[in-house]
Formats: sequence, C-alpha cells, structure tokens
Amino acid sequence: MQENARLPTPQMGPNGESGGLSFVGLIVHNLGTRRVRTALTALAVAIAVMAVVTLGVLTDSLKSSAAEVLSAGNADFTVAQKSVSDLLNSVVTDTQVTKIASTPGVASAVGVLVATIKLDPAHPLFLEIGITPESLSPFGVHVVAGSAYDATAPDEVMLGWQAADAFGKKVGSSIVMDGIRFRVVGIYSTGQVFADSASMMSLATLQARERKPATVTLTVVRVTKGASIERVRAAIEEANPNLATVRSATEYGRVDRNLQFLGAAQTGSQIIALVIGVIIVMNTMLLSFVERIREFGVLRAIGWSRSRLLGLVLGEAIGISFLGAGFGVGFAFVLTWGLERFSPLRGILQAQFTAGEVWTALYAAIAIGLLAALYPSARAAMLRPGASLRRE
Amino acid sequence: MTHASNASMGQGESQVALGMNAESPASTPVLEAVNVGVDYGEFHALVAANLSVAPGEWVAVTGPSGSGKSTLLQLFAAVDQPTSGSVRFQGEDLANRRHLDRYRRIEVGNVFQLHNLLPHLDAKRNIEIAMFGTHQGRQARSDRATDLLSLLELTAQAGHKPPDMSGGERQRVAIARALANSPAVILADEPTGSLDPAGAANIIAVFDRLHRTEGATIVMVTHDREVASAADRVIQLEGGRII
Ligand SMILES: Nc1ncnc2c1ncn2[C@@H]1O[C@H](COP(=O)(O)OP(=O)(O)O)[C@@H](O)[C@H]1O
Ligand SMILES: [Mg+2]
Repeated sequence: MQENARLPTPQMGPNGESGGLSFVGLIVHNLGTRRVRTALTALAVAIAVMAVVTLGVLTDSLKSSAAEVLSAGNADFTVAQKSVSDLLNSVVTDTQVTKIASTPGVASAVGVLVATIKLDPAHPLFLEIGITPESLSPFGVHVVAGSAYDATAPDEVMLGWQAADAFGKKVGSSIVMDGIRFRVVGIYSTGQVFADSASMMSLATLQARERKPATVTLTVVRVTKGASIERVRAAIEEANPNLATVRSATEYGRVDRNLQFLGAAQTGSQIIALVIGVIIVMNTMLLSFVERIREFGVLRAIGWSRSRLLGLVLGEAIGISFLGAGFGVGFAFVLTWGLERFSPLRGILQAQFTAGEVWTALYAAIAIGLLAALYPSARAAMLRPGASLRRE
Repeated sequence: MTHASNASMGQGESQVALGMNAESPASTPVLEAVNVGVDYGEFHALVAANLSVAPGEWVAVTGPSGSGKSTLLQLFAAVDQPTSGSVRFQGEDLANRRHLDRYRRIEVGNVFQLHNLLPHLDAKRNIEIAMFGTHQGRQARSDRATDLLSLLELTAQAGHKPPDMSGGERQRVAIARALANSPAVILADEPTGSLDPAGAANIIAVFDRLHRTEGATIVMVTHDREVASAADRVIQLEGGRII
C-alpha cells in the first residue's frame, strides 16, 4: 500500500488514554451532556419519591405509635370497641372487662382509660392514661422515681420519663392539666415512646374527670402459659360481638377507622405523586425526543436496531430514576427529620428509615422512569430513518 | 474475514486494512436499482430508474437539486423503500432481506451531507458507536476507531467534538465511521456539499485513495461536475429519470 508513508504513527496505543466506549458509558455520557435537564428531571422524580416515602414513613410511624399504646407491657393482645372513628372513642364497660378476665385462658385483663388534653400550644395531644395502681406492674409500668399514685387520690399523677424530661418536672413538682393542679408523685418508664411521653393517674380519677364512669378505653390481656392466643381471642370476640381484639400494628385498623382512612389517603396521595412525576418526566423526555429525532435517525441509518435505540432511551430514563431515587430518599429523610422536630407531630412521630424505604424509593423511581419513557422510547424506535434524516 | 490473520503486525498498513467486503464474483453487481420508482403521493421523485454498480467501481450521481439523487441513495442505504421496482444487494432483493439493521450496519457505509455526527461525542466515539451491535468488543472497537482516525489523518482530532472541527475534518470523521464495519460499498450524499474547494478536493483525494488502494466501491451523489469527474462513471438524473 503506497499510502503507508502518509500514515502518521498512531499516538494512542490500543490501551491509550481514551478507552473504548461501552453502551452504558454512552448512556451516562448522554445524561452528562444534558446535565441541567438531567438534574431537573431527576429532581421531579426525587420529589415524587420523597412524597411516596415520607407518606409511607408517616403512616407507618403513626400506626406503630398508636399500636405501642395498645401493646404496652408484655400484653399478648388488646381489646377495644370495634370500628370506632378514633381509638380514643372506644368504650369497654367494666362488666365486659370482668367478663374478659374470666374467659378461660386469660391470666390478666387490665382496663385502661385513655384521654387526651391540650397541655399547651406545643402539646395539643397530651395523653392521660387512667389505670389502677395495682395494674401498673401487669401493664408493664416501672416506677423509676418516687412512687405510684394512690387509688383514690384526685390530684396525684405520674409522668413518663420522656414527658418529665420535656417539661422539666421532678418528683414533687406540680403540673396543671385541664385547669387542675396535680402533684407529680412518681416518674415511670414502659420502654415505649408513646406511653413514656404521657401521664398516668388513678383510673377512678380519670373516669370522674372525663365523666366516663365504669368504662375504659381498652383492655390489655395476657393469656395463661400454654394457652392459644388465637383461641382466647376468638372466644372473647364471640362472647362480645361489639369488641375487637388487636395483636399487631397492622391489625390496628380493625378498631380505628381513622387509621383506615389514613391508610387510604396515604395510598391515594402516593398514586397522585407517582402520576404527577410520570407526567413531568414524560413531558421532558418527549421534548428531548423531538430535539433528538435527527440523532436517532442517524443512529438508525448507520445500523442501530430498534431495540438498541429503545434500550438507549430506556437506559437514560433508568439513569435518571436512580439519581431521583437517591435524592428522593435524602429529601424524605430531611423532611421527616424536620416534621419530627418542628411540627405538631413532635413527640408523636417516630420515623424509622430502613432498607425498606430505600427499596420503596427505588421501585417508585424506576416505575416513574419506565412509565414516562415508554411512549417517547417507542416513538424513537418507530422512527423511519429516512424521514428523520431529511429533517433539518 | 481473514485479512487480519495474514497481516504481519509490524507494518502500519496491516492495522488499518479496511477489509472491504468485495468478495462477490465480478459478474454480480454490488448494488442494482431495477426499474425503481419512488412516489410521494402524486409526485414521482424517481421514475423507472436502472443502475448497476460493479465491485470496485466509483459511480458519481449528479443532477440538479430535487432531481432525486438523495432518494436513489437512500434506497441503496435501505433507509427508504421503493414504491415500485427492486433494489438489490449482491443480487439479493432488499425487500426480501429480514435484517435491514444488519445490512445498514455491515454492508453499506453511509456518509451524509451535514450534521451527521453526534455533536456531543468526540471523533473517536462517533466512530465507535457505529460498531455497537457487532461482535467486536469494547477494546476492539476502540482499536479500530484509532486505526481509522490514523488512516484519515485525524489522529490529532480523536478527542475533538464536531463543533470544534472544520467541515473537512467532520466529513473525514464521517468517512471513517462509514468504514468502521468494512462495508462492501460506501454511499456518500454530497460529501463535499458543505466544503470550500480546497476541502472538497481533500475529500475527493480520500475517496480516490480508498478507491485505488483498497478497491473501495463508492456511490457518490454530487451536483458539482468537477467533483463528479473524479469518479469512474457519472450518472445524470433529471426530474427523477436517469438520462
Ligand atoms: N418525504 C418526502 N415527501 C415528499 N416529497 C419528497 C420527500 N422526500 C423527497 N421529496 C421530493 O422528492 C424530490 C427529490 O428529492 P431528493 O432526492 O432529495 O433530491 P436531490 O436530488 O436534491 O437529492 C424533491 O422534489 C423532494 O422535494
Ligand atoms: Mg439531496
């Protein structure tokens, strides 16, 4: 070959500084080329992901907070009135408590009255738990300072250690609740955040104050050793048709319709967030598609198959999804952190971030990316190379 | 392809061997248009066109703007289909070919007139992406692109993106990309259309070199008679008819 002399010596060896481009490398490169657009699209995904994750975390947290009250102590299950609008409206009569206690297999049944008061603007939902002093121990309450209140004392109260901490109260301090001055006779601990942020007083005192004589809100049951929990539950529900037994947080909706609504609202809001995310991302991807018709036409004309082009567009969408998932989890974390500290949910919300939330974020983000890319990528794949080449 | 195995690695040209697929017997044309017509509605862009391109031949297609030159070339490139008649590659009707993607990737190398490189990829990567979907691995694609850049005297421009290159350099990158998979024929639509006379002469010199030393088969569209005169044969189109 005579052109040998004209051929310059290659300056890059086979392993030169610029290595070969892979398909994934091209996807990453394309995303990097449209940096601002990629970032903004990922932001849209991230906000949708944040909404989905935060709503999930909030609802789970509220469910488990509520369930913590139910499962105070080493209870096997809790009994409350069936399908009340709010657990706090549940009514179980003393007669029913006695009946539950005498059901075969029941070791102990502790009736508990629960009420909320507005302590001050920062604590609009402070919990008061009425329980007889002799039931404190079976209910799982440990007095860590001072002593328990007297069964008949109308002005004695115990504070959970977290509540005492928050209000700066000690044994001997006084606290005004609903216009009545109480003396703090003891500090207790249950190991459950919800109960430890509350107060406890004599059942009779609270029944009188709430004008709910001879009733409690719920009954905490422990079964005898060797008895079948499920059989005891069934027996109680059969004997008391207006009561429901609850064993775990997920069953909580059986008694509390608020939580059922909350769950439905959560699902609805999550779907709305996803749909809005899909619309925004699809809009951006369609815009990109129109701008890139010529590029796609060139790729088809030099022999790229439909599926490869489809893979390119979907790959870019998934790249955006991953970015959005990462940012979305970050945003959700910051948002719930803020809600835990600076909102009326302070003290109630105990958000738990687990691997589950990261997976939820990833699923949500990839669902958004793929759904949004479906139509634009199909149009890219269906482009007729000749027609798209003629475009200027 | 066996040319790589018999090449001694010490010589520069063995690394840039094009291995053009000019293996069909001399009697079988590489490309044929047989009574080809293309209609866009009532408009006849191409009428009963007949053209046969022999292996190793360099054919120029000329004619005024709108005479159907690009239409004819796009039929050969299999990016468009004829309304009537048939287009054949090495004797086989393209209408019967099942994998036109593969045809476009392997059998023909396209050089378009304008803006045909991806602007955000550098010269080397523009060549590499033409080899996606072939059996070549990443390193092989990189090596091949490097060799082609060297062949077209573009080694210094390997890392440059199209907007930072001259029109002539861009067109040479496009030629390198067209050669990436050792096609049987190069299809070039107005390859000098956007260039000044010196740039045009340079591109024609590249084609001439590929044609003479590599035996490349070339179908080139141009409205420039001077450029067309470099080819072995000149076809004239007017109003969609070969005259
Ligand atoms: N998709 C199309 N629809 C309608 N007319 C077209 C289309 N593509 C090309 N034409 C017309 O066909 C004629 C030939 O086009 P073309 O082959 O591009 O001409 P040229 O010889 O300039 O390359 C032109 O008049 C052009 O307007
Ligand atoms: Mg044209």
